[in-house]
Amino acid sequence: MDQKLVVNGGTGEPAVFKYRLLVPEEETGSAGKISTIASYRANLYIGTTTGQLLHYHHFEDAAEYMLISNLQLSDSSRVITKILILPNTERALVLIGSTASVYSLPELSPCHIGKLKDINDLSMLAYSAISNDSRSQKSVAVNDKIVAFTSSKIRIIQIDKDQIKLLKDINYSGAVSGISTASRMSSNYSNLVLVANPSNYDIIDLKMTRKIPLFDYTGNRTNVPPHMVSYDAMDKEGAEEYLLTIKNDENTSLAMFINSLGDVTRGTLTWIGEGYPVGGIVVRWPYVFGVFASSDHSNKLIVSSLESLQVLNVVSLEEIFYGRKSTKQVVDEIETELKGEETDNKQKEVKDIAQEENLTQQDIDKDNLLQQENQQEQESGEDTEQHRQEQPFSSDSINLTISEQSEIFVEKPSTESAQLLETIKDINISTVSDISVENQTVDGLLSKVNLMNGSRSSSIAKHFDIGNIILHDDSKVWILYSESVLIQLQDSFIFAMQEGTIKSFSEELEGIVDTYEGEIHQYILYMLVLSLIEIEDEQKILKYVLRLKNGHLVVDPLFIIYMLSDFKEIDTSHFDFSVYSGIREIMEQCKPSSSRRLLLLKYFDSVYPDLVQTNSQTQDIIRRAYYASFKSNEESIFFFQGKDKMNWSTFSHINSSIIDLWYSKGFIKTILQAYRSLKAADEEKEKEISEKLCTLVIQLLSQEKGDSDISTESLVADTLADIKANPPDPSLYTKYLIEILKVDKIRGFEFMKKNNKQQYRSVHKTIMDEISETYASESDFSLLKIEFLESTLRENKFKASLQDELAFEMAKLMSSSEFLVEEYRINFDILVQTYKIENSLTDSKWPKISWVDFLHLNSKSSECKDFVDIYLKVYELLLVSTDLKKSTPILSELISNDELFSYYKFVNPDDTTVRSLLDYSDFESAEFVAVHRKLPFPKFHFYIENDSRRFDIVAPSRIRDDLFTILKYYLKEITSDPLCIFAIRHFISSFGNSFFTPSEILSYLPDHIPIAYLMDYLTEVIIDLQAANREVQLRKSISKADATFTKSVYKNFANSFENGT
Amino acid sequence: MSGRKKTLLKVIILGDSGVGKTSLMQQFVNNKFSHQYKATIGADFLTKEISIDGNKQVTLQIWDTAGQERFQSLGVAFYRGADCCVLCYDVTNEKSLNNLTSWKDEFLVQSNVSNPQDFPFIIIGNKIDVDEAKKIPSLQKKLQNITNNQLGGLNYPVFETSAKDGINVEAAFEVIAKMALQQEELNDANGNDVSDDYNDAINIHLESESSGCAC
Ligand SMILES: Nc1nc2c(ncn2[C@@H]2O[C@H](COP(=O)(O)OP(=O)(O)OP(=O)(O)O)[C@@H](O)[C@H]2O)c(=O)[nH]1
Ligand SMILES: [Mg+2]
Repeated sequence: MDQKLVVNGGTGEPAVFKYRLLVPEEETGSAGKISTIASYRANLYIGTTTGQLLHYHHFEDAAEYMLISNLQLSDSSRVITKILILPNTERALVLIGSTASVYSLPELSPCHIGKLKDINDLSMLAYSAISNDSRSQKSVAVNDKIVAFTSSKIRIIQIDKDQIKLLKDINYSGAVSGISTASRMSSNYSNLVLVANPSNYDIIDLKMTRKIPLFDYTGNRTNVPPHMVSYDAMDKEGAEEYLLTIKNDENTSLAMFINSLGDVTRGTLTWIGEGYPVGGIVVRWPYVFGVFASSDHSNKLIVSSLESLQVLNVVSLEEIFYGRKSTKQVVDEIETELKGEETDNKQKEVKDIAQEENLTQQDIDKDNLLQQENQQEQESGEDTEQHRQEQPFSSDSINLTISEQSEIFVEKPSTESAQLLETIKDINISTVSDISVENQTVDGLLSKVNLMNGSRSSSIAKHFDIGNIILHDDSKVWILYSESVLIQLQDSFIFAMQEGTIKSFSEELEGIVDTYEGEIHQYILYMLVLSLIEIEDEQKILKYVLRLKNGHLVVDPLFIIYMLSDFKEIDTSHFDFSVYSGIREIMEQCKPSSSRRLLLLKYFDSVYPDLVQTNSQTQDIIRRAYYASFKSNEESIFFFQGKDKMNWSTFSHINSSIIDLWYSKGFIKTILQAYRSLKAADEEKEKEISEKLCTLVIQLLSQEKGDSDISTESLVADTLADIKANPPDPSLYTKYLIEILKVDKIRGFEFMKKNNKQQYRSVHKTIMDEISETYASESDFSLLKIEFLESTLRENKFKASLQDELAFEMAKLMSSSEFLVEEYRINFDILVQTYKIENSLTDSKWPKISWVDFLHLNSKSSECKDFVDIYLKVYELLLVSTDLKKSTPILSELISNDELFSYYKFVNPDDTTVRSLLDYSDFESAEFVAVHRKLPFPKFHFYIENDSRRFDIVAPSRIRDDLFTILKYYLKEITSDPLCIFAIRHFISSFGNSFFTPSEILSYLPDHIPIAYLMDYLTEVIIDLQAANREVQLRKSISKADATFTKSVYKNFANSFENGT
Repeated sequence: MSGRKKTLLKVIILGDSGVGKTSLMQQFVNNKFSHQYKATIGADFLTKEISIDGNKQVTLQIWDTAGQERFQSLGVAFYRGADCCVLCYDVTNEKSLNNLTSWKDEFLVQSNVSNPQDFPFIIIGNKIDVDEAKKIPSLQKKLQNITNNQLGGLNYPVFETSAKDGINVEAAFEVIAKMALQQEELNDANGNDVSDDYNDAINIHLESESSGCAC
């Protein structure tokens, strides 16, 4: 549908234009020849030589313009020479012949508000877009002001919706055409008009009503249509300039450039050997398009540059519009054809005409014709519609004149070849107001493609190229417009990559990116970024990817990540985002992106979190990327506690995946932090998180996992602190403590001891059980458990069950060969032997020390203190417990099987106990047991402050028996060592007087015992005896006194009874 | 005006076709010379920045016009606002020397300068590199006749140059620049900002305001 026209760049790159047929021939064919065209919004108005006005409309959903009305505005002999669109009043002035009438837009119903007569040309009165008074702009909107050029005047006319007003008349003779200039002067409306009379261009100053003559443009010929085209000189900050064409001679013409002051602004443009642009001139900066009908009667489009003033392209319109060689070539071909054939007259005629390449003669004919017409005009004093039709000076009517020449061809040739010639039309170029032409290629480039699944979504807005250059022949209308900048850039990009000129292309993009808006701007921005990535200009990449629009990033962060990421951790193949298809095309051509990790991080620093808040996918990816980029726990934690803090309030899917990422990187410390924060923040998932945290901590403690940033010490400390602050449920508590106890018993127990509240008691017990079960062979654990139980015991006022438990634990310990090593046994035995010696009866010191107290005193210096301590503790518990041996079978087993513990048997004394104790050399205890039937309470105790045991009354005979056993033992010893006499002395003085009569004692004692040793006893006994004697006497006296007193009382009573009655 | 603002000086080169106007400009601005003759059609200009007396920077805008007569009607447009006019002749072409006066007159008529009496002109005789034999016989005498003798003679500085060999071209344009600058300063002093006023405007009789239109 569209075809391309590449204009050589001159100085820069080639420019690509496209053209397409807007209105095909079939539609206008019956309506005469096209004489003028105007457009208004989606409407296209075509005036014809036969007074018809065709109204086309471009419906949004249709590809083509559609004919919606065909008005016959006058009789078919009149030509519509101009359609002037009046946008403010929504009217059109239609010039037919020399009369202009007003029609309403867009439907062209006649407005009966008057007609303008004697009009040669019409032009809008230009006004400067620069106005500092907005109100005046508004008032402008209700009417349109135009300039009408008549044969004697230049008239400034205001057209309102319902009336026509003449504002000003200026005498000017023979104006054929003109334009009003929007010189940026003080007044809102233009003061200047460029006007052409049949030979000269002039500037008319409307305000000062004066004329500035410019120059002749005809080269002293007639029939030269003047062309005055205004344009904004982009090389002079958009200053308005005017192009004026000048015919120099038959073959050469030129264009001059002036500003509204009449000053020449640039050198001349020349068309040497190309004739004059009879088909019109259009300026599209920096190009000048001229349509020339050259001497061989073919139409050429010549494109020149306003910058270099050089001709850039000469294009045969026949070739591009009709796909046909130039007329001359056709003629040549016909000639060749004819040469080989018999000629007949008609063919010869054709040949004659065809050979007549030089049209000078025809020009002359034409001139003559025109001169005649002019004469007629002058004669009649007022022009007629008929004349107007052939008036050659209006640019719109030029083609009519030349069309007549075409008709010459129509009449004469009748062969096939000649028919070919017949169809050759004259082509005109002109501008209309903007027409949009849909551009499906751009739509294609701008459609979005999803990078993940390749699905495409077409862009919502259709894209239109805007064109205002119209070419038409007798019956067809084409539009010529710039190739969309996107397509040009797209091609240039790929070209630049192939040529290795991407750097300069990138600079070019940078220069233009901000001259566009909307999607085009975005697209170019993406291109620019891609080009910058390609040339690795990081600074600029950052500059452009951070562009904001309405506070949002223009370039999708995912695109940036996709392009720059070398993070293995970011799997870009799962990116669910779309880019423009055209951009995707370029991306495919780009070299694989190299590592831009630092750049990407800089980018993240700028966009995260504020600029990506709205897109969770992006946010997630950026967060992941961040964490992926970190090389240490420190970095991770810094980010986690800083910028990323707000994202850690829930244990979301992404957070969970980030934690997995940390695992893969070994950032366990970070994970711990995260779990702890999440646990506190996400109530809903607290349990799940706690469990995960616990599992992790346990894995760490058991060294199943590790992180050099975490010391066991700190882990334990942190964990305990955490448990203390946020107590987990009992099962987790247990798990924690068991594991902690394994690595740091001291702290673990310390913690348990401190945290020994009611609710933890059973938990703690479970923990201890578990521990001892797992570590049954480890005496260290038993010791710790013992310690733990002891403290529990103390705090629980020596609950019996706890005592049993403790005893059990200790017994277990003592029974383990790991604990009770041979060394202990030997050392203990040494203690036993030492005791026997030190406590022997041969030693005169009394009282003796009990075994238990001895042990206590000597354990410190012994090599088996740990064992002795346990030994003593168990002893103490045995003492106070009612039936420990029964409740603790392990203990009873120990006692009965191991000689080492034989002493424990004495805790529940029987008839042999005293004797056994004596054998054990524990005389102190033997004596105590004899009297109390219980072992004495140790002087040093571990658990029990006071001896609160209940002592049963022991039958004196039993005591005597036992004591006698003791005494016998002592006496027996005397026989071997006389020093034992001290034992006898001790015994007699301790028990002699209490449990035995002196005669008994004396009878037991052997004869040879020196009495001196019995001194104390005897003294005591004698005192006792004397006291007994005194008591008997005292009792006697008291009884006597008592009897006397009673007698006297009785007497008194009896007396008073007798007297009183 | 001091050197604060950049001064743009417009210089116009006139003379018969083929005398070497384009060549002189090309030599001065681009240091280029071509033996090929391509007649100038219309006009074009080149600019060059030079410093006058070693301190004042000026931009010379040198307009090269067509010598061929058929283009002369365009002249007015190019002449306006000129600060200096260079009249060229070819030392081998006597006709071109004789035409200098009419070039000057044409310029003064068309350009509408405010001070035609002392507007700065300079005369350049070009192509001095050619053989002596080809030169105009007794050139100096004829030249003097033109410059001194007649009333309203061309009593202006004369430079003999060769655009081909670059002889005197630089020197000539230096003088041109100085003279143009003087003219420019004179115009400024008189408040004659050419662009503000149309010296050549013709007043039009204004039609009495008629209401309505020819309906
Ligand atoms: N020997 C010689 N030839 C010159 C010199 N200057 C110009 N020419 C030649 O003279 C011919 C005309 O030169 P141009 O500079 O084109 O003349 P012009 O004055 O611009 O002519 P128009 O554009 O027609 O007005 C060319 O062939 C040049 O090569 C010069 O100093 N010495
Ligand atoms: Mg020249």
